[in-house]
Formats: sequence, C-alpha cells, structure tokens
Amino acid sequence: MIDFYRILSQFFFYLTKLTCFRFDFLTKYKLKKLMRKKMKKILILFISFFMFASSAVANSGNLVIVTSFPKDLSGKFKAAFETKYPNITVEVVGKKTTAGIKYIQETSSNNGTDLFWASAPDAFEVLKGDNLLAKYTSQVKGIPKLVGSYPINDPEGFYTGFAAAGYGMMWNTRYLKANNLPAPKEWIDMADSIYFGHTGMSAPSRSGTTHLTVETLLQGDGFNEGWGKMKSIAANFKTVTARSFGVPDGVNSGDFGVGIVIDFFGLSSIGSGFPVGFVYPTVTTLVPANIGVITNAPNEKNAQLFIDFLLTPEGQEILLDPKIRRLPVNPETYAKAPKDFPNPFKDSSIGAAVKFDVQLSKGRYNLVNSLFDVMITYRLDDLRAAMSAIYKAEEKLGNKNNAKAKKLIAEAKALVAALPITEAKANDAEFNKIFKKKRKKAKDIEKYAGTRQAEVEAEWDKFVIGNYSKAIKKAEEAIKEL
Amino acid sequence: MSEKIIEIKNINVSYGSNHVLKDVSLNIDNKDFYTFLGPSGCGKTTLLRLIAGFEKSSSGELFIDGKEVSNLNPWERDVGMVFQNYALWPHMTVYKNISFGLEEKKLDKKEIKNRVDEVLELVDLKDLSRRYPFQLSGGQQQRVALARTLVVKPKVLLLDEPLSNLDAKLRVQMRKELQDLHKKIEITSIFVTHDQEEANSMSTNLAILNEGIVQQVGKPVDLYNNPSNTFVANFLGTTNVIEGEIRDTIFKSKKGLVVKNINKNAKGTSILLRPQNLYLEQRNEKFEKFIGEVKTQEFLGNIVRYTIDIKDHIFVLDTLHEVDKKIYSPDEEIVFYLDTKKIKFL
Amino acid sequence: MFKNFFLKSTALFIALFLLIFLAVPIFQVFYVSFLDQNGHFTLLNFYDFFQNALFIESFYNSFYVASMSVVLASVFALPLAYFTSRFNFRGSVIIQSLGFIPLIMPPFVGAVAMKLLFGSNGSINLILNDWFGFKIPFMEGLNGVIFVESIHYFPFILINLITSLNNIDRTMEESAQSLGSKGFGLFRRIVLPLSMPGYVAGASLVFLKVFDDLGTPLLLDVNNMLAPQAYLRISSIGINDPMGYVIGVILVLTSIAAVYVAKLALGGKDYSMLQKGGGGMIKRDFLPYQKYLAYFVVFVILFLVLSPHIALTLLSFGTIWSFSVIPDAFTVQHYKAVFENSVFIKNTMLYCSIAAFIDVVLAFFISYIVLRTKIIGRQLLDYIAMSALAIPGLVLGIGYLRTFYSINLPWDNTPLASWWFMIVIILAVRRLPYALRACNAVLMQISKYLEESAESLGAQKISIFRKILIPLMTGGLLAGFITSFSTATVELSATIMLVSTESEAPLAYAIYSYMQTAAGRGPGAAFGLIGVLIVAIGTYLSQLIIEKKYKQRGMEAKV
Repeated sequence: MIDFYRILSQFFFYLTKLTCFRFDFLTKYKLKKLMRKKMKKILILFISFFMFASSAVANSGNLVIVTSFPKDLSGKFKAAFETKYPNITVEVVGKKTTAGIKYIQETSSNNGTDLFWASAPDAFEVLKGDNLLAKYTSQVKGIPKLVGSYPINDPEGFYTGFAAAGYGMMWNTRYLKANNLPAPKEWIDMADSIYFGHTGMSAPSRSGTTHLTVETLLQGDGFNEGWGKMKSIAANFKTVTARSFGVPDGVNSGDFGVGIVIDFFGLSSIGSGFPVGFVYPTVTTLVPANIGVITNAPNEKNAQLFIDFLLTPEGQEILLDPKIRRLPVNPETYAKAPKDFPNPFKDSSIGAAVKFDVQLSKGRYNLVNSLFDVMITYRLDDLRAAMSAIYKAEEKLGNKNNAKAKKLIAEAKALVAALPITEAKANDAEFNKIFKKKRKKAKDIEKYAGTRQAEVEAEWDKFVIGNYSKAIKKAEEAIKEL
Repeated sequence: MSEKIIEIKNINVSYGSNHVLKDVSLNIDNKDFYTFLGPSGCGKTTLLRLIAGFEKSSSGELFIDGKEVSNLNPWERDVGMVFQNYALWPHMTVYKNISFGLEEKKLDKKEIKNRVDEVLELVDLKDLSRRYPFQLSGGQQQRVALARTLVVKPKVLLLDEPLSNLDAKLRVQMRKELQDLHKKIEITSIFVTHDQEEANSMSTNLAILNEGIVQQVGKPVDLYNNPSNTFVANFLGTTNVIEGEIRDTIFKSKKGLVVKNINKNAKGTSILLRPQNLYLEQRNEKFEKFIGEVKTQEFLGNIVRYTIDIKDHIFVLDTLHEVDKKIYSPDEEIVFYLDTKKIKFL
Repeated sequence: MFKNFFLKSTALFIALFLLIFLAVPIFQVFYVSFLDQNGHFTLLNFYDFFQNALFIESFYNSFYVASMSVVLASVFALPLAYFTSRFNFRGSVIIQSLGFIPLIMPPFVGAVAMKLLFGSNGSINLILNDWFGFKIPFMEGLNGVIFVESIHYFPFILINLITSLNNIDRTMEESAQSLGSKGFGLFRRIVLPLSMPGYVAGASLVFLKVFDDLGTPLLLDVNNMLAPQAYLRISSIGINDPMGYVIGVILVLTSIAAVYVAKLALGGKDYSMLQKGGGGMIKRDFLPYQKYLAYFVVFVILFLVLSPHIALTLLSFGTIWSFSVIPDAFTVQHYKAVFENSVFIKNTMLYCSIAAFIDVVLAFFISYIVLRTKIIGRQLLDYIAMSALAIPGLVLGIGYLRTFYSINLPWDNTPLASWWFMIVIILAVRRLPYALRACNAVLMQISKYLEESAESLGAQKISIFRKILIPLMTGGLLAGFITSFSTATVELSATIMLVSTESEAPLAYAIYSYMQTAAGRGPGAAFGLIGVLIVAIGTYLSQLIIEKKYKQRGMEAKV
C-alpha cells in the first residue's frame, strides 16, 4: 500500500511543478527579491479576500423556503414579497423535489424550514404522511375548488395549490424539420414508429410530475391498457432522463426531437427564445403546484403571509412572466395573460378527460415507480430492441394479408405489453407495504412478511427481460413468414 | 585521569528482531577526540545517534556529564551533531543556518551576531555569510555545518562521517583542519567513520565496532600493535592470519605450514603477520626462510605488494620499492623471510 | 522524539476529526444495508444484490466503463506525455499546463456543453451529417460515459506519466545506449518499464474515480451502472429500500480492492527513489515529417480534451444554441447575472480556501506522523483519510444530515448541519486525500537530517515545523492546497445536501440551480467558466511561487 501511495504522492507533488512556466532569464538573486515582494502581495490579497468574503456570509432570513422551483420563479416571488413586506427577509433554498423531501425528513428533529414549495402533490402527500406538514387554510378569495378535475387544495388542508400545470408534449422545430417529422398532438402519436429514437421522458421515480402523467395514463386507459400504451410510447424513447429538467434540456439542445414535459418547461422554453413548441394532449391531468407549512416552522406567521401572497392577484400575475409561464389558479388573472396562453377555466378540453383518483394514485405510488423503472428505465435498450423488431415485421407486412405473420406480430406485441403483476395485486395495500418506507414492525407487512423489494424487482426483471427477448423471436419469425 | 563526559552502560538497541547494538559500554573522556570505527552496518552511527537522542535504547543507561539522558529529547541534551550530508537548510543563508541554534536559545540579536561572526572567523567563512548552501562548495558546506554546531557551544560534538562526501585531497585537508580546530577549542568530539586511516590519524581514542559489539577500545597505535582479535587486526590494516597449533616454539598450520623459533610463551590458535614484517632480503640470521610462488603483484609506487602461495596459504607481502629492485611476476618462485619476533598470537 | 506529547495529541485530534466527520456519517448511512425489515442484522441484502440481474449488469457495466476509460485516457495521455517530455517540443510547458484544465469541469454545464458539441445532434455530428451523411455516436450509452470520463480524468495519467518520465535518470538510458540499445527497443526495455509504476498509479486513480463517479452517467441518462443505481435508489421519494446503501457498500469495497490490485501490480517496484541525481530524460529532436505528425496528434488530442471548455465558452456567450453548429448569436448578458449574484463566487472562494487550508494543515500533520513518528496506528490514519476518495459525495452528505442535524449550534440554536462551516468541513474531508498525497510526497523528499540537526541545536518540534519544514515544504503544501481548492470548487454531490440557505450556497450549487431552467443555461455556463478561470489563475499564481521557491533553493535535490 505504501509504495502505491508513495507514487501517488509524487504525482501530486509534480502536479503543479510540471505546469510551471519557467523564468530562466532571471537570476536567482533577482528572483529572491521578487519572490519576497510577491509573497507579501499575495498574502495581503488573500487576507483582504477573506475579509471581503466573510462579510458576505451571515444574516439568514426570517422566512426559509425549501423549493424545487428554479431561480427564475422563486426569485421573482421572493423579490415581490420582500418589496411588499420590507422587514421580512426570504431565504430560498433550491433543492430537487426528492432531495428536498429527504432534507426535510432528515432535518425534522430540529426543523429550520418554514415552507415547502414544489410542484408534485404526491411529494406533499409523503410529507403529510410523515406528519411534517402543518394545517393552514388561506383566507384569500376567488380561488375555485377544482382545476380540470383535480382539487386545487389538499382537502384536509395541509397544503395549498397556487398554480396549475399539466403534462404535454414539447418539440424542437428545427429538429423535426431536419428529420421530416410532424409535431405530435396526442399521447398515441408518440407511439408511432416514425418517432423511434426521437423522443424522451424522465422517470416517474425521479420526478413527481412525471409520475402523475404515468398515473393519469393508467387511470385514463386502465391499468393494463395504460401500461401497454406507456410501453409502446417508451419504445420510441431515445433516453429516460434522471432529472425532470433533462427532458426540456434535451429538446432545447436538439438532442432529441420530442419530449413529454410539464407545461411550464415547454412554455418557459418558448419564452426564453428556444425554437420549440408545446401542446396539451386530450388525456392530461391539470395538477396544482403547491406550498405547505412545515410542522414546527420557526416563522409560521411569515410562512402563512407568503402563502396568502401567492394567492393574491399580484402574486398570481407573476406566474404569467415569460420565464415562468404557469397557469394561475385565480381565473381572473387570465385577463392579463398573453393571447395564446391556455386557460383551463375556460377551455374545458384541458385536463378534464380523466377523473383523477388521488387515493388510488397514493396507494400504489412507489409500486408504479418501481414497475416503470424495471420495465422501462433500466431495460430501455431491451424494450427498444423488441419494438424495433416488431416495427420491422410490421413494415414488411405492410398491406399483405398473412394471417400467421399478423398473429405472430400480435403475440409479440402482447409479450411486450405483458405485466409481471396483476392490477389487483398492484392495488393491494398489503403488497404495497413492501415498497413503503418506515416499516419498523414486522406486523406492518403480515401478508407478505419476509418479502423484500429487491427480491420482487429481481423477479419482475427476469419476467420482463424474458418477454422482450421472446417478442424479438416472434417478430423475427413473422419476418421469415413474409 | 580526566573526567568522563560520556558514560555508556550496557546499551542495547534492537529494531524488531534486528539486534543493532549489543550490550555496549564505553567511557569517553572530556576533551577527547574519540572515534567509532567499523564497517558499514556495525552500529557505529546508531550509537552516535543514540547519544544525540535520535534513537532509543531498549535497555541500558547513557550519562552525559554525569546526567542520565536516555529519556531526554535531542534538544534537551546539549550535544551538537554534524551530519554526513551536512543537512544544511537550503532555504536559509549561511548566516541564518548558523544563527538558528542561538535564536532557539532566545539570545539577543547582538550576542547572536557576535557569536556567529566569531565562529565564521573560526572556520574562515566570513565572506560567505550571505550565500545560500547551494552556492557553496562541498568543503565550505562542511565548514558551515561545523560552525552551525559549534556556535551553540555544545558539551559534545558528534561528527557522523563528515568527510565522506569530500574528494580525496579535500578530505586530507579537512582532516587537518578538524584536528586544529579540536586543539583550538578543546571540545569533546565523537567521530564516526569506516576509514581506518582517518580514524588513526585523528583520534586520541578509538572504539572498534562490529556487528553491534565493541571489539576493542584504545589508542590507535595500541590497537594496531596489539589487536585483540582477528577482526580488529584485519580492520586496522592488512594482516596475514594463519590458524593452527602452537607447541613449544613451533607453530603448525592445519595445512602443514610450519613456523619455527617463535616466542616461548606464545599461546593461541592463530598467528598474525603484518605484510611489512615479511622481507625479501634476509636482514637477520634468525629470520625464517620460506619459498613460495607469486600469485599476484601490485605496484603501488613506493611499495610493491605481492600475494604469495605457500602450501595453500596466501601471504601478503609489502616491500619497499627501489629503482633497481627486481619485480617478480606471477607464477615465479619467490624467497622471503620473516621476523618471528614480530608475530602476534591470538 | 520521546516526549512527543504534542504529536500524540495531534494524532488523537486528527483521528477524532476523521472519526466524527468521516467514519460516523458513513456508518450512519451504511448500517442500513445490514438490517432486515425488522431492524435485525442480516446479510440477505447482499445476497439480493448478487441475485438481481440488473445489479450484476450494472456492476459489469461500471467495471467495463472504468476499465475502458483507463484505456482511452491512456490513449490521450501517452502521446502528450511522450512528445512533450522526450522530445524538444516547442510549447511543451503550455501543453502540459493545459492538460490540467479538464480536471476542473463544472457540474451539469460540462455535460450539457459536451452534448452540444458531441451529441447525436451536436455540432460535430451536424457537420459530419451535412458533409458526409453519417454520424458518430460519441455520446451514446456506455460509450458516452467512457468518452466524457476519460476526457475528465485523463490528466491523472498524463501528469503521472510526465513525472515518471522526468524522474528517469539519464544515466539509465545512457548505460543502455552504451550497451547497444537504441530507438524503440530502448524505449520498450528501459523507459517504459521505469515509467510503469507512475502509470499504474495514475491509471488506478482514474479507475477509482470513474468507478465511483455519479454525475457523468446520470447526466448522460445511463442508469445501468452502480453509482447511478445507488443514487437513484437512495434519493427516490419515500422509498427506504436498503439496496441503495448495499450498492454503496459494494462501491466502496470494490474501490478498496482496486487500490489493492494496483499495489500488487506494482509489487513494490518503485524505482524513483533509487535513481537520484543525474538529470532528466535525454530530449531528442524530431525528424521533419515526424514533427508535423506529432503536432497534428497533439492538437487533435488537445482539441478533444479541451472541447468541454470550448463549448462552455460558446454556451456562456451564446444566446440560443439549439440544433445548430454554433449558437445563433452572441451576447455578454449572461455575465450580468454572474456579477449580480457574485455572492456565490465569494462563498465558493471562502469555503474552498478554508477547506483547502484545513486539508493542508491536516495533511501536513498526518504525513508527518506517518513518516516521522512511530505512533501506533499511524498508518491507519493515512488509510482512513484516503478512504474519503472512495465515498460517494451524496452518501457523505446524507450522513452529515443524519449525524449533525439534531445538534444545535450553541450561539443561535440553529442545527449544526445547516451551519455554513459544515459545507467547509465536508469539502475538506472530501478533498483531504489530494492534499495528503501532495504533502506526503514532499515530506518524503526532505531528508530527516534537516530536522535532526535543528533538534540537536536545541530546537523544539514547533519551531522545527515553523522554521524548517514549512518553508521547505511550501511547494508541496501549495500543490496540495491548489489541488484541493480547485477540485472543491466544482464539488456538488455532497454540498447540495447541506446547503440550507441560498445566500450561503457555493458556485457549483448556483450552476446547478441555473441549469434547471430554460433561461438559465447561459448564466450557468458563465458561472462555470468563471469558476474555471478562478482555479486557473490560482493555479498559475501558486506555480509562480513554487517555481521561484525551487529556483531559490537552487535545487530540490540535495536536501
């Protein structure tokens, strides 16, 4: 070990020595003098820089908000709020939704956060389930009960919706033009083989809003049908991103052509000048973005003031900013919106097609995520291989009337769509407990005691992989038939 | 007898299973120039570093000026050490190097300056005090190292092979300078070397070490004349050592070589013969005559060194070279004589 | 030496520091992996790991990517090192300096910039497609990860190779030449074997870093590797599956095994210490046609390895860059955002310089204790400090929250974990290995006689440190400082967990939050570029100092 370290050491030692520029023309004596002067200067520089820097740190605010929202959004609200209440300093801490939840959970023993402010209602459900949210009902008037078919506020009063957002499709116009592709209009368009390798989405386990899209699809088309559709859409994916922002990022860069994104990503990308477009499909859920007070908030009063501010007309108008572009929950704000801005309170086609069952979604939350990851995220290459074999077979089939080939293709498709779990079991509350956090007592999981999530996932994985490769074989057989 | 400044009593040092010093006991007198002599790896440097406080003994006692110092840190011992490679601090000038020890003693600036100047004078480096070590020659670096140690006036000066990094000529010169310096300031000095010539020429007393054991202690001449074992005999100059039996006045080696007319009272199992005590000419009738075969011949200028084979014994013979003298070649037969009075027995 | 109370208490203090800020937080996270559903000890989770096809595949992928990155990084590093140190090559110093830059790749923007340049619809492929009608999948799947990682970490091999090559005494080559060896045979039989230990050390470092790296595969959306698997499982909403932590443990164990294998491969063959004196390599002249070829190769490699920074620059000055070779137009607007939010830069400077300072102090004492004392367990100190190299930042971040959140600061009752100084500490712990190796290296080159002679002149430890060691080690200490500092400026994974208020957030965090919005790309890139510039200037300044230091000493040699 020591020899190894010694060599490593030498390396670090020479690291800087090597990259030196040489000053051979100076004599050693001159160098010495120069060196002394420089040393002093650098020292002074350093000290003054320290003083300068340390003055920058200090004074933490008297309203601390943990949020998953980008600076473009949170900064505008912070500024407006501070103008209105000059004696309150707002501290905004940006964290990814998942990291934010983790942070609030880990720090709950000694909480320093006043508000959690994020998109996905399910994130709030998790916090609520851990008793980390305090009840608050704002007195601001003029906010309706529902947006689309989704209740704006938590019926139990633990969190409050302040803006609505729905999933849709975003595309890069330059990309589509270069590849001669039309812009999609409905989810089912995304399953068309012309988009093979041109689309992207983030994993539901990574992004709460993506989860809602998947869940909406499952509730809209039924569990089995929904997954089938999801998989045929997923087969076209170029990538499943780990961050929800990875999708608009990829579309904006032109890395892939079409992405399934939440509306404000699309709208704000348009607002920032990127050559992109956005559309809502018929089956979408408008979901409120929420804010909730944390239990034992150090500045509870200020926190409530902030929630009220979000709901007032001046707060709601900020949502129309071209870099934010979220749907206000106060219908009157739309009067000030730009021309093509969607209005869910007038245009009943947005988000009304599905009656969203919050309880069902909540019950199988982690299971759906895990299922998605096992079948799609981690096995995207296999899925794509299976689907492209099927596409090839279909292409060869064309308008021919070959019953056997047709049957084989249908079988292959069925294999791809098949699920390693029945709907009933997926909705079984007992089974879902395997995927739950915090199982301190054995009796929490009586029925499936001893079953571990990793075990279940390994089983699913085997099933999925097997089916995908069988599907490829069937498709190849079909091609042979033709 | 003068007062003992260093007393080493039954010191043992071992690193794991490696027993470096074995039960070493030595006394060193005040103002002595004492040398530890031995081949490399004999433990002489360890012994020196032990006195300086850089090594720890596993047992035994060490007194400096009557005080037991085994548990004192190096900086508490009042001994000064000069290292083999001088260990001059490359980032300090000569002046700074020398004043370091005095600054550590928190002397005031004026006194520091006086003492540094004084010692610079002593080692003749006055003009170089503003130089950096790398701008000095080897001999100058050596003198700075010496000055740096002397300036703090230690009770004992420890010198760890200080001349080994110098070229031959400079080494002889520095030898002289060191001796002069020792006479001038009369500081007890302990000198470590593997070079017997250096040891013999400089020291008042010698301790010869081998394999962690003190072989013999004494004045250089005494050791040369009366080595107490074959190691000492061989280490201090070349010696012909022949093992065998002594009966009355006759020595007989195992291979059958016979030397007659040896001292009556001689006892031992081997005889020692210095090469210069073998002669090509019969200077005295009592000398014993031998006939052998020349194996090698080495011309060293003032002397010629032969190795001679007699009955499978190899003798080394030195003879003074003169202009007309015959030089034997290998395989030639050669006659030589030896003075049996000068034979030592062990 | 005998009464080293001071050193012993320092050793104890450092041990405590490492225990509290490294071992305990890691344990807090990892012990979950040994628990069953009822909270009892079990190894079943590890059984599950090896039963799961996905995990095995991830393990294989991580291993493959790390190995291939070493290969590709070597391909980048070998010609650069060989040409610049063995031939009279104009601009070799600049080339070697530029070789350091890729190590400083700001999070997120780096990957976005790379995609804009090398992605399937990035500049290069758009041009290729236009002119020749084909594309090269630089950034697809595992290949993309290998490509980005090897660009990012190849300096480890480059610098190591140059060091090794320069360390080879010219007499080694000369004696081979006098025995009739020449040309490629000389290179193969003498130069190559002698530079091998350095190469292996660099290569194993690359392997280690790539194997544990999370950011790159995550940003390229490659999930089937160990680090992203661990991360995805640890950070998912509401899931408390132990597998994430199990993977974490596997990561750490594999890293340790990799270090061990590297050690075996070296087999104690560290020649550098044996061949002091003499001089560096013999530099040769190129033949004319060789020269042009060499310049061509060097420029291609330099373009490749600096491409993230080239793209970063374009991005920071560009308006909209979408599906096009270069941005539509250029602007300096993004830099306005940087100067309006300079607090991030100040924070980074403050945090990273304090952290690097702590590192240098700790590293100095650890290397002193390891190399110069016989305190029991001193090697352990070294190993523990080095183990930070193999701990994923996210794991450490979560560990800090678990360990320190329930402790309040005495003066204002806020949790310890949300105090800005904890960011400094976590940065210091994460970057300690770099400073430690640098300190170790210089201290090893300083003869202990220099200290002993001061001791025998009556100097005590503290004044030896102050007057002898620290001045002599300035070069190494600064090298350690710079390496720690510069790599800390782009650290995100650990700090993101600890940032509790935006006004106390460092630069990397700002880049992260800007990169979450459509309009934030430009400012994010601008922040990233400023970060790179700060590091570059800092490195340059410190090198001036080191260089002069060496000139002043005449030679590093005869100490």
